[in-house]
Amino acid sequence: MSSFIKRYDQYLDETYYYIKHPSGLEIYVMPKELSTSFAMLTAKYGSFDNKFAKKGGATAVMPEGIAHFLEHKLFDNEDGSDTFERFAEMGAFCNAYTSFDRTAYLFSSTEAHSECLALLLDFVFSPYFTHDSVKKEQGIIAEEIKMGLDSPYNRCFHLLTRLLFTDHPVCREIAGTEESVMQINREMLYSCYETFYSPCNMILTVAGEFDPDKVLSVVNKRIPRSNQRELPREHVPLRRTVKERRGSETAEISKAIFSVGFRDDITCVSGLRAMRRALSASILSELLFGQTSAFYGEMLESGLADRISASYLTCRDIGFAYVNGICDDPEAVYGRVIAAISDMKRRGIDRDAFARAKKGMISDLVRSFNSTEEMCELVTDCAIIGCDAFDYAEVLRGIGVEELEFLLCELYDERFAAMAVIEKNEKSDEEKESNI
Amino acid sequence: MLCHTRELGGGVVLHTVETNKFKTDCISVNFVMPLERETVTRVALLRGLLLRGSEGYPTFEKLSARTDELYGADVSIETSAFGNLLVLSVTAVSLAGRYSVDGTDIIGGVCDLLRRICFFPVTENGGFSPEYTQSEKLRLKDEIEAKINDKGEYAGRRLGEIMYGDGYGGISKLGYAEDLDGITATGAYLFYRGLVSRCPVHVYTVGGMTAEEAEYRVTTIFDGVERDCDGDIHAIRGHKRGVSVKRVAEEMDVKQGKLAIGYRTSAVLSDGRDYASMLVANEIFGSSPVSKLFMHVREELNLCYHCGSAYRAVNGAVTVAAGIDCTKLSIVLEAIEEMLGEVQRGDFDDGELEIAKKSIVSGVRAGFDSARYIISFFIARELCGISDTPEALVARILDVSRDDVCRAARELSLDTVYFLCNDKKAAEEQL
Repeated sequence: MSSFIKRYDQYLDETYYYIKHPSGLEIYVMPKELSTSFAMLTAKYGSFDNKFAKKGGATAVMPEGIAHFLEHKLFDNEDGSDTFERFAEMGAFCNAYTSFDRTAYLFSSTEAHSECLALLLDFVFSPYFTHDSVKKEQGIIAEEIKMGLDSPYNRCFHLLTRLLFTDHPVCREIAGTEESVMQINREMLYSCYETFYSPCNMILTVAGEFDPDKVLSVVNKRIPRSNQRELPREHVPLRRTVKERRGSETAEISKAIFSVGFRDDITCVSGLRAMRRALSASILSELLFGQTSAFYGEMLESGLADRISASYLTCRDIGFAYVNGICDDPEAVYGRVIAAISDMKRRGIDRDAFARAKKGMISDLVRSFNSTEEMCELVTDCAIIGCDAFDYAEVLRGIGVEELEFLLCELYDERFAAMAVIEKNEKSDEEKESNI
Repeated sequence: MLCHTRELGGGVVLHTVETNKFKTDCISVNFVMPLERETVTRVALLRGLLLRGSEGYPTFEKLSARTDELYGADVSIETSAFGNLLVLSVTAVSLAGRYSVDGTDIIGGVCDLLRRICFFPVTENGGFSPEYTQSEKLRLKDEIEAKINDKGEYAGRRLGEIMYGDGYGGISKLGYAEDLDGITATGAYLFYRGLVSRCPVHVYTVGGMTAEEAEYRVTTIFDGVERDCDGDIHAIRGHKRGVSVKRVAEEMDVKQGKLAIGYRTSAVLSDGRDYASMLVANEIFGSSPVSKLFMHVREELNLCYHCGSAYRAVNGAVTVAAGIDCTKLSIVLEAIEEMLGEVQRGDFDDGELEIAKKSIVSGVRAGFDSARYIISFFIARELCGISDTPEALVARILDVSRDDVCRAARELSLDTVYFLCNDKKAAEEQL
């Protein structure tokens, strides 16, 4: 086998092969016996990357939503063929998505896996944009944006990010606005493509019926070996402050939807330390607001709030913990959230609960290896922060309760908290009644 | 893939799918009953109530702590409708025994927990706990009312209600807020006792367990449980067609109009060949990114971001859903009709036909990478009283001809057009 690094994990009973291609592309191959094989080609380019330095030093400022727009347009081919159809001819299904820090192109296949991989690389590495096709896409994306605006949960999440981060692109919508996508043109798309779709800014993960050498030969045929370069990403220094503590909008919904968030202070964006912080914060969110927490039990019994979910999200230089749900009285729930945190700060973290929460997270890790798709997602997530997915369990086991207590004080600091609420639109209720 | 079936007595049937492809074991206990407007709310209430506390784990917190101890076992309760039947499923997914590093008997613990959750809930004076009952009634009320939050799903539900009227297809499996007041802790408990002792039960296991091991394990779930089963019940064939097309527009504060269309078909899951033909017809019509609806309505006319169809094989319906600009309703309706016409007339090339078949076959194969899909595949067929295997289904799909597709598509009749929008009057003019 060529210079692949092989790693086997005994507990998971899984193996991956890794190589950094001369082009800079990072490749992970995970052989797996399931019916579905899966591949994911990820560019480390997302809605965060709206500003960048062009060749010669000038700063380019792109319209919001351009990374997502580019994702849609890469499906177009110069010969007029339809990318979906080319995959479908092989019984495969392809798709793509854009998030804050990445654009991922993926397929699942049950046969002809290598041919599908070749096709994936072909279409992502052959941009073809025309004025007409850009214009056409503006209409489709406008409808996609409107669809998002009709989801009160989406709106609540975005409102929270706007409250917590006034100084960061996380507060902008990934798909942009109806106005911003109208400003996008063909030249801008090419400029973004040239800047960010360099193999050295990309990761390829494949899981299923794949042979490492065969994957490498497919890549070799399609990707030039050179072209390594530094990426001109904009870095804005951040200061941990939250100016507006409350924000609300209305929608025609049954009850108020709330999201309480705590802005984190990220000092380390990559490597094992970043992974450790993300995992620690996840355990903490489970202990504070998860199904076994005193808070969850209290909400269930008092009926103050329902559909509680909590998590920790981190991406490059930002991170925040949040707890969501539906309720009648958001301020009362906010009070209980703060009380639950104070209570844990006072009493310390329960050792048994801590051990159980870790067991639950190990279980989630093992389960993700039931699916080639989840395997690719996990390995890509880790690769993006420069970590190894097979270190996940070890890092998790190494987290101690004292460390978590320290993080509890640092992360759950009310000075950096905010609450977003989507209120029930009372007016529309009256209107409806008058109609009847 | 084989599903090994064995009667355990007392109206309990065990179905085992043995496979080593998963790192988890899945056990699903399914109580089968008629879907009725009068009882559906009480069944829906059980989903939350049975998880509030059981003998030995009297609170939700203690139950959840126990599942965490069992290496993050995931226990969920849900209801699903299969035509005229309603199924209450209590499902546990847990890590395979080899992942236990501290000697915990995961599957033994999971079976014990399933037994407690299904048959030994917390009781007080011959009823459920009044406190839990009250709290779950409020939660269910919230859940029912929250149906308006997701506008697309809401439109789909309204379509079903209008399409089937009083028929079982129009019954909401979440139940009805107005029925909650009449439910008491004692009444709910008596209803539940009748249900778990009399309903036929189908237990499915998917994972490393052999049929013998599964029988041994699953038998423990029913330890000390008295059963008095009335005998098995099966789904009946689809609905009668409506007499005239129903066109309904409703108003809500939405940024984008949500269109939902329902067609009737007599082809249902138990019609082996017709079912396969309709699957292929639906795939060509609107069920994939290369379908006529996606390619024409989205890619050529740029009228929407999503527009697709789904075949509801138990009730005998094909539904179309799209999010569109409220002012463009009539153009979209026309385009959808035109696309269906193309499928009916055979206006598609052999390539499209082959792609459609490949796509469905891939979907079936991919589904068998998921324990939940495997269970839903076999239970749907069990309830319809047919036996089928994924391999046989694949063979039937590959056998579908162009004529079969046209025949299936021609057999579709428009039943209901529903539009949720921000201007009812304007929409009615376009309907």
